[in-house]
Amino acid sequence: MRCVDFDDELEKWKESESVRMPKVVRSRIDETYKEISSMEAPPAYSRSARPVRKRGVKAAAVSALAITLLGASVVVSGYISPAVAQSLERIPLLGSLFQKQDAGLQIAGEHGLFTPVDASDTHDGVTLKVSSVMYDGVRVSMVVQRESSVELETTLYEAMSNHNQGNTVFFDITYEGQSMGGGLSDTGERDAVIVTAEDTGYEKDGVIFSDKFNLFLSLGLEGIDEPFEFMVPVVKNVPDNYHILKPGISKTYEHLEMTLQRIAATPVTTELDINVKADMNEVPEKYQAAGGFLNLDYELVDDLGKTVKFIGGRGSSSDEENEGVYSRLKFEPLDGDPKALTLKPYIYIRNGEETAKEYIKELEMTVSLDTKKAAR
Amino acid sequence: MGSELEQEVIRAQAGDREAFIRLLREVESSLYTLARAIVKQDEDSADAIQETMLKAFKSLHTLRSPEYFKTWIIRILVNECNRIIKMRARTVAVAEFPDLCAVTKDYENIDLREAIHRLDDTLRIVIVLHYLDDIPLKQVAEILDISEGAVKNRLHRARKILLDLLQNPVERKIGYEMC
Repeated sequence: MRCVDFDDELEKWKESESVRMPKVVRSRIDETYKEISSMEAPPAYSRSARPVRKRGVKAAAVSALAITLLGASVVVSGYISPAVAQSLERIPLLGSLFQKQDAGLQIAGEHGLFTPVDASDTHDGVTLKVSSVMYDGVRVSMVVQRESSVELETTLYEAMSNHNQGNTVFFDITYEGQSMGGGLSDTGERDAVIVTAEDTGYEKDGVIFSDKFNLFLSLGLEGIDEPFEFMVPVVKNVPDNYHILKPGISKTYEHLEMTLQRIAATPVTTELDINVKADMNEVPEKYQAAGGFLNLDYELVDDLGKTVKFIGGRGSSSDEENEGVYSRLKFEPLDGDPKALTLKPYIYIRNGEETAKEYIKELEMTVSLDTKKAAR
Repeated sequence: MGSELEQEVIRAQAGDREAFIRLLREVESSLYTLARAIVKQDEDSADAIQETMLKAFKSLHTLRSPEYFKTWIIRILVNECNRIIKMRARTVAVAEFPDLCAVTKDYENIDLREAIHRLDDTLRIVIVLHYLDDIPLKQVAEILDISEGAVKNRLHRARKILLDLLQNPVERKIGYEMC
């Protein structure tokens, strides 16, 4: 039996195999390169990393946010049901509609969370159509589009804003017979706007939207007497894994009693409900704004140090029964996987000609975010 | 190199043919070494490589993770080589004998190269992938679409046979092998 060093033999073998490419192989390979160069480009693989601004369905990026808030098992990864995908193709310009909107609506647009609907009304040759809706459990966003046989001078946004001679935008949103709050957003497109609706859950006797409901919408356009009316079916179509916390944290300082009543965090919106009780006779003047309002504003920062961008707010101002003043604040969705949020109230202080932010550290509140699904 | 390669793959997937050809140039000598060790002939190696490159080009969009480009294309190559081996076995009709080098019934000591050539195709492929191209076991498993355990098993059997062949003089055989 021969004495064999296997590893040594392996080395020798490897060396013997690494020969230079023979001509027959070299020329065949070069031939192949030539062939490939002149072939038609292969089907392009649509990568989520590239900003694709095509219309229709695209392989959507699953943001870290989506994974943490939607749960590891719900790999959204751009899944859009075939039915929705089909309808999205028919909606023109869907992708470009959200360019000017907040990050939450942009995400909703990119992830196909806007469901097509078909509610329309026509007056004086102008047709308004609620073409798609998104509801994440916090805000309802509706895309309203305009069609007309005649050329129109103003954009849809202008036509809606100018309805009441520029005083107020005329629209009315009704849910179960009660008036809801809403907002109007310019998309930058001539014939499309976004109308937002929110419930009044922050008020003492307010109503809260259910997961599936009808919204009655009435819109006015400049130059047209009759309002455009729609019944919009709304379904919560954001996967059901989001935080709703009722922290109920209270802090008191200088006769202000601030309570953080609710935080809702969805992949599209972060929303805070805050209540502030204040005896206006005792509260220092710097906190007071004209008309008996409080001069308070709020910053929201996550535990990674990032400021969550404010979108808008609304509130109730009367405090006849000393229930406190309610504020509902809307922010962009959380980014990454923050474990906590800090609410930093502040006021603006006037120093002669300058205004500066003065944070009220004593009223600062930090809430840890529960990563488990919480019931509403 | 890792992320550079990935970038090239992404470009290639976006339709950049020159990026794809650059990728192929990176792996061409690996492909040749592997092909030759598996199919043992230059002409067949050329066939295997050409088929592999064209198939890779046409199905590049199915590669979901760019960092696995090399594993992915080697897998295509191994499949092509197997296809060629199978076809070769079929086309050598019983009545017809290929050209052979002089056959002797000498007993002789052979080197590892010869021993590997005598291995069964399936065993030879794992030896070639793991020892010649230094491909880790996990990736060999992915290339061959078998479990890592199965790879280890084949390597173990192959080594045993090879050691045996190396340690004991063998009779030269007639076969489908060329000289």
